[in-house]
Amino acid sequence: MDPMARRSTVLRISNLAKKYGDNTIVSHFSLDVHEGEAVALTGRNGSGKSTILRCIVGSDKPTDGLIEVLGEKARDTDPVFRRNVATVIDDLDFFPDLSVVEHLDLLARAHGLEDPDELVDAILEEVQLVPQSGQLPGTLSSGQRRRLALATAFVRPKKLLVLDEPEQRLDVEGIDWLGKRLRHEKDGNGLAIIMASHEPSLVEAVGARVVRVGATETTSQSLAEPEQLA
Amino acid sequence: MSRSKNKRRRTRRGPAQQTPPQAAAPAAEMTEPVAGFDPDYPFADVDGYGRGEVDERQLMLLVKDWRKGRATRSILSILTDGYVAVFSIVIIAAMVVSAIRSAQNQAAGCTTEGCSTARELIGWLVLAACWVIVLAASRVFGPVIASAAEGFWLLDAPLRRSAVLARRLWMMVVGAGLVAAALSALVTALTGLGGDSVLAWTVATGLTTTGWMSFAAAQQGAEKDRAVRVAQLLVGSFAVAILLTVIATASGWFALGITTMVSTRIAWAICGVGLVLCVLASVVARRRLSNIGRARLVSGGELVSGMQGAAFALDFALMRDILIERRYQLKGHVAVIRGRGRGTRALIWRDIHRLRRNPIPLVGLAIAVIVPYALSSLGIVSFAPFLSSLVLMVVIVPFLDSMRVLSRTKGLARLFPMSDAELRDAVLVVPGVLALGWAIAVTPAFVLGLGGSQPDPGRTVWYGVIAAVGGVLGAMRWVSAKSADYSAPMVATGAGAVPPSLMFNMVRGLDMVVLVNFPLVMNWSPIISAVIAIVAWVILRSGASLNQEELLEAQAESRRELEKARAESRSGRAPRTKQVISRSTSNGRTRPPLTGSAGRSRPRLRT
Repeated sequence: MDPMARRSTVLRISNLAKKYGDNTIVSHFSLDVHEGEAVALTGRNGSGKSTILRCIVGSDKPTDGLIEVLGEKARDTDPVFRRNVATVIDDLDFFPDLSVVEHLDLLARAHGLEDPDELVDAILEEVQLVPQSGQLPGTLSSGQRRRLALATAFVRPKKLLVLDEPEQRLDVEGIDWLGKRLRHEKDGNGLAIIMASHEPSLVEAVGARVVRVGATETTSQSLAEPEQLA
Repeated sequence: MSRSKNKRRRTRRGPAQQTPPQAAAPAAEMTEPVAGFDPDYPFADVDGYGRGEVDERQLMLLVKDWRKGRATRSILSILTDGYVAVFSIVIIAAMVVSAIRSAQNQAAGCTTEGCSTARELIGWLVLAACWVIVLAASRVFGPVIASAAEGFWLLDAPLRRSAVLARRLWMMVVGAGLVAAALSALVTALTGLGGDSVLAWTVATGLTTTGWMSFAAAQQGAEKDRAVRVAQLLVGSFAVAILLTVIATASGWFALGITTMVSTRIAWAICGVGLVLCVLASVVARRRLSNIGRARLVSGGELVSGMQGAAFALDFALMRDILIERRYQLKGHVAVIRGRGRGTRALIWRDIHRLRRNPIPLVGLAIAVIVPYALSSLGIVSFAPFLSSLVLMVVIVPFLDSMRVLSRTKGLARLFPMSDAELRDAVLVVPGVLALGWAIAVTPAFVLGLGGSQPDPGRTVWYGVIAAVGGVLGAMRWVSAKSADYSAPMVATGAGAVPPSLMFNMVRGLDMVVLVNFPLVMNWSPIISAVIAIVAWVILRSGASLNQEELLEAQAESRRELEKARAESRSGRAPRTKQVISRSTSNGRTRPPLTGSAGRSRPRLRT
């Protein structure tokens, strides 16, 4: 029996469809993501990868279909959904008057961590933002902002991580770090990950099941772990 | 570069002088060598210098020709088509003239010392207000600015920056002076001052405002900001002092005894000082124009274009966002303050830290306390809660910055493990406490009947609280309302098709203040105001906008859910049991489930 099938389903997408006017972006898209599994959505530009992710996190409304997270219908305003799902997509905003480290501290405390200093420092070290810890977000470069966005996902507890092209604006070292970090979260902490990516090396490093979006039929394959083929 | 220097350069180059604007570009092919080294040219040491020498005046004429050459309509045809606008301007001008004449007639009725002193101080108030505005705007924008396109195409070229920017400097300086003078003339005329006084205050305001603008431009040329900042602080303090004096004298709390003659003499003295400041600062600003960095010129231009975009959408909150973003970009770095608390308390503590870091908005709140007292003293009893609420709304907005950021995009709110309502409650705590303090401080103004009226203490004791609630709800609506949705169906208007939400943008915030205070204006029971406020608060805290399309969409979604539930019950399907997830640690130990009782058998992620 497939070992993945024994694990609980964290994300279930059933017959998802999204249209903008008459233009169908996604139709009949179904996918299960299990605990300790990473799924990479790949495909051409405009194939609907980001649309699927936006529908999952609630920044877009599906035209049809059902999205469930941990057995409950996904609602981005639901505190339980927000507690379980960490997202790094392009709509992230920052408080203009709070520094980098204050953002992470606030987020960790809001998620109930009593004394988050150690964790925050460790994450800052990992994303190489220690020198910028007192800087305000408006002064960060696009790459640094991306690292801060990723740090917000790692500084808090979560069951599902949704990433839209996380490799964007990261340098080669950053992509390498991200791959290892996601692999650790997946294998070590049992995190379910769904991401859209154009970076094969990242997909390979994470050991993600690849789902091609926009093909005649949605196909599934793995770059790193052939035994995980669906 | 001076005009005489320009003339010398044109004479030296000879043929270029006769070149029409359109033919300025071929100047690059000129081969006549240039004698001597001109330090104005940063590329003087580059090989071939002189062959591509630029005549900035010709270049600007060329740019002007491109712009004007692409115009498809003449000014006459625009005026012909714009007869409605012209007609409106004539009507408004007639109304203004009529109002001034009426004010002049009514001035005879202003016989008390307090009234006449307050009237004399109005000129001072306009003067100080113009100074504050011009210095603040100069600090934020430049005052000399260049668009991104100009920064890329012109300012990188080997030309004298001063020649390109001179016209812009004069336009800014003279424009500011004219607008300030017009404003002063209008206000002083409307207060019923005599012709001499109006003239003196008009000239004084115009000249000094021009002087401050030139001063800011001179500082920009020196790449310095401190002098303008100090000036702004001093002028701001002066303006606040004048405002308080006007309120105090108008309310009859004390009298200064300033006569029209004294006031007019002071105004002419200010004219003299303003003229000196204007001339000196303008000369220095002109000389330093070449020194202004491209980044500073372009950042001001980009800010202006961003503000223009927000202004076209009537999105004043977005305009404020742009300014706030810019302010913190310039600040760049802060001393880190460690957070406190967990959950929503962490957000409340962060707001307290914000207040500690930036206490300046408290000054506005303190000034707002005076407003109800002044209104009551002037006998404006029925409108006092409404006007006080309106002022409070304006001064409480800076304390709602957290709510603004959490409302404008979903991305940040989604990071927090709370509902929108819980988030809004948390970030409303600090502004709410401040507003409560304001309400307590202003309650005597409504209860004591300072204007000689006989208030009913049983009712008016609630006026302060209701005015505070109205102000907070107005500010809450102002920061959290959605921007205009251009994808929604448009409404045909005389100004073309506009989205309905664009029109609501103009009154957002104000609508809440009116709703909550309306029963007080009508002398109804304060309980009605309280009920309206509670309903408004429930809607605003839930994050639901008052946007019609969104409400309809939410209604349709609820209907779909209901239909699905009915269909399921008809088909006899058992309702799905709620799945409870147990939290597991990395070392394999299982924690208690997130919800539900631990004793019941339920599916778990890890077993």
